[in-house]
Amino acid sequence: MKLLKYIFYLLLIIAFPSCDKSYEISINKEFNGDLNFQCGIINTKCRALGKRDFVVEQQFKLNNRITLHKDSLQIWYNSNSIPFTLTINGEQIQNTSSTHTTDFNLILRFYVSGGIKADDTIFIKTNGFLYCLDTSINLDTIKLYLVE
Amino acid sequence: MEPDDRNYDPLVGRFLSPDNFVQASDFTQSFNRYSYCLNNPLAYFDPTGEIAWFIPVIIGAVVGAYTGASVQSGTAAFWDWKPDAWKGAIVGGLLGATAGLYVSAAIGATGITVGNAGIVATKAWGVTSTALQSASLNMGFSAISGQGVDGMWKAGLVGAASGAFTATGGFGLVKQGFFGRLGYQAIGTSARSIGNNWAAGKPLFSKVTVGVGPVNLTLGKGQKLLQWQNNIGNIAFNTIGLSNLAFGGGKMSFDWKHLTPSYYGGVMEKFSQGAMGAHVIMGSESDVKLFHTHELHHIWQSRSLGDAFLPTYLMQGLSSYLIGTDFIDSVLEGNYFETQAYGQFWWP
Repeated sequence: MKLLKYIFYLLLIIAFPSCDKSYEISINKEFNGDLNFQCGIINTKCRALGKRDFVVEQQFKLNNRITLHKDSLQIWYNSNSIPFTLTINGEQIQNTSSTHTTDFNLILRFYVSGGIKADDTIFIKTNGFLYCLDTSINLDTIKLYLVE
Repeated sequence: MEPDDRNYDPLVGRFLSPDNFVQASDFTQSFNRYSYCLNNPLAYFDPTGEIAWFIPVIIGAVVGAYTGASVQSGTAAFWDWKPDAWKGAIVGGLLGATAGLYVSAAIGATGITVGNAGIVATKAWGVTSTALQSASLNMGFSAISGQGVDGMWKAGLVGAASGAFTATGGFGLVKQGFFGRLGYQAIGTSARSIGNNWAAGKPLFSKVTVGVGPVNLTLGKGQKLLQWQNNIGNIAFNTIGLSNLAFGGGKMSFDWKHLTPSYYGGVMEKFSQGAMGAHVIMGSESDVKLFHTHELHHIWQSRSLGDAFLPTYLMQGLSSYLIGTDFIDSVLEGNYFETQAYGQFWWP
């Protein structure tokens, strides 16, 4: 009987490992993309865990000085502003602006309470976020779609 | 919209009469009794807006307790019940309350908020449901072990306490850094095993499991320190990970801050779209790295509840499914353990 109990446990455990499903997120209907601009290249990818935890990963390859203004970044879903964290090379940034001259990795992370549905749109407003030297780079609004 | 029970004014976005219930006392929006769906109608919906989730749970507990006492005594006439009818009442009450949880979900009772990704459990619902489901599972395993009602009522109380301890992060202990998390695990595992000794009628400290990071040690007179029976989950998932490392071309890393191995790459890259975090972290390389913190929450949940974690997790998910969301979303997402792992009610 004891052995039966352990076999039952094992079957339950193996049959149902608590997998967290991740989803591809398209950025403006593309899965990833390179943005070439005067100061370098930005490669952007996005992924979501369980339709709630969103990670936008950007690799900046720079040939000139850029400045990021965190306060100018806004994330919107269903007319609600979504709080976010911004991490550069693994360090969460608190300052409103940061200047960079060498390559770095940026992670924008946010959580949508209640989750989103497939084909719903999350808007990332970026006007005034990125400056190349002292010129604002207009990235327009980035639209994220969850793909099932 | 105009629900049957209360009139709603779409111009002001408010009900014209207050809700009879504060559905989730841990959520400040619940105290606005004129609002709909925590003031976030685009993310949540509330099919009836009337029955609070704990009402079916209380009804289930009362009906279950009466039934259990009747079965224990062999008669429904309460004046003829045996002196130990209360044992049956505890077993029946816990099972009935657990059934009430599922009824709450099935009828869309309030206090179980529903979002696009399934249930986003409130703290009150999450702690209660984890405690009751853990109680029912522990009683089930007690029954399988042939302990009868004398063991089952104790196993039920032990399971409920153990579930509540895990669901509250050891009443906040999990937030107290590395040693807080080790304490959460050690207290969770040792208290559950001492409680189960009590349920089985054995000396309390005859065999005590103490989880320390990735292994469960066994203490007690004449006991071997390392026993496979107390490490089934750890052994099962580390075997999968190490096999991937040895034969599948996979990789491994070790998080010393959480004493946790991660397995990724190789065969897992082909079969995994996501990651898992019970006992070990595994999945595709990018997901394991991107969602490492989320999976660490599951690591500590599974360490506190031990091998009872995954069955309890499954029961949590099934209660979510009854509310009518997609099966996969319900089981994998509509789950209090997931809400915790996203940093709600737990450490950030």
